[in-house]
Amino acid sequence: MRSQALRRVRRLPTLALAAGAVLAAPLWGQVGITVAAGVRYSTVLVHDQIGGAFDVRPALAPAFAVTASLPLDPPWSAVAVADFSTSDVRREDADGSSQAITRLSQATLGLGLRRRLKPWLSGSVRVGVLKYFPSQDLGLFQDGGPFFPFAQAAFDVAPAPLSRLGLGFELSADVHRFITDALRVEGFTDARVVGRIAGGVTWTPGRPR
Amino acid sequence: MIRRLAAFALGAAAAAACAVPDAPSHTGGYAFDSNGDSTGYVFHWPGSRLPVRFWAEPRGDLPALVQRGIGVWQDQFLYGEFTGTMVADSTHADVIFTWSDSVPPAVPPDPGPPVKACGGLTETDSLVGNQIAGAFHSSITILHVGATAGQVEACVRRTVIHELGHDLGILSDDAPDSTDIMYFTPYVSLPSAADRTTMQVLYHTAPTLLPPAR
Repeated sequence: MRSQALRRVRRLPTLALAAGAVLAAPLWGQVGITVAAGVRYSTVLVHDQIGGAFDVRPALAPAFAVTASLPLDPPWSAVAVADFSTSDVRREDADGSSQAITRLSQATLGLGLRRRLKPWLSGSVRVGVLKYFPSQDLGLFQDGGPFFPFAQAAFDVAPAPLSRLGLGFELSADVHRFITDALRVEGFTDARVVGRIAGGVTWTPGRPR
Repeated sequence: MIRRLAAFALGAAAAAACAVPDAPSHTGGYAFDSNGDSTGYVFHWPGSRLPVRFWAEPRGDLPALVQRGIGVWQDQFLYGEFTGTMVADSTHADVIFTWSDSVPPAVPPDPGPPVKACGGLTETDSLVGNQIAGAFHSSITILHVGATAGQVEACVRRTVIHELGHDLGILSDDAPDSTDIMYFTPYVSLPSAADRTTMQVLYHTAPTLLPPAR
């Protein structure tokens, strides 16, 4: 008796998932997937002065993103974005020299709303979480990679000739507040607002705009 | 809507431009030049020579202690000023660690008050003009003063870190406080705030000595 009851309880999550999938199936049919590849620029993560002044910032990075969009009442749609970029994080000294500290990858997960502004232009606002992944726990990342909330604005442009191929361009800008445990130990008390700008080509497979 | 989105982007950019926290002062270090009074030679490993290559005699736990010491010093830097690595061949090393005579047993370190049960020495072969010739040589000597094996191990651990401090560029033994790992006789197990600041300032000071040629 008891084992039967246990089996029923164990089946509940599976049943819930199955029910959710059935109910969500019509929605999934409307979800559009867009992939993007481009390049990302980041502002300074840390400004410090030991002898001379210097900055620490990620180098220009290749950036990749996948966006899922679900149409709401026109002209709105809900979007979920996963984004990844990777490059060296470098110390840039005042004399123009620079030194790589470690390799730094950044991944974000964001949710937001998109509005079609023109037939060839849409704008989005998104919020989410950004996580840093240093290749080594070293220097300012010696306690591992921190994560931060971020806010982002993005514009998608799809001129008619390109949109027929599902192609377009995206320009996005986001901000977050950056600090690490190692920087706190060093005496930094305030997080620094860091901006990131990315531009790239987008492709929406199987769904010309 | 375009105006709202543009306002969001502009606001974010303005916030990014304005929120610039103050940098810490990085004060409280001591003299790191060879005379210990800011009149002597200044040396540090340049970025082009990183990671610095260390070799340790494979007897006792010296390789493990040197590896640990490299990590301890790496953690004093935030901005990639120093990294080190162990190499298997002493002929390709920038720094060579050896026992000067006897090798103590590898045991857990005694956590009690420090006992001067060992000594250390770091030297270079010679100077040719303003360039160091040959590898840095650091050696550890066991003093037979009736210390326990654990006390010897604790002494060797802190002395390895102390000698690594010389290998990285603190050329004098003039750290003023016994709480500094670079004090003439190291009594603490890890670098102090003054050791950390001193090493950071050293690596942002123009050197007067060049590293050995590779």
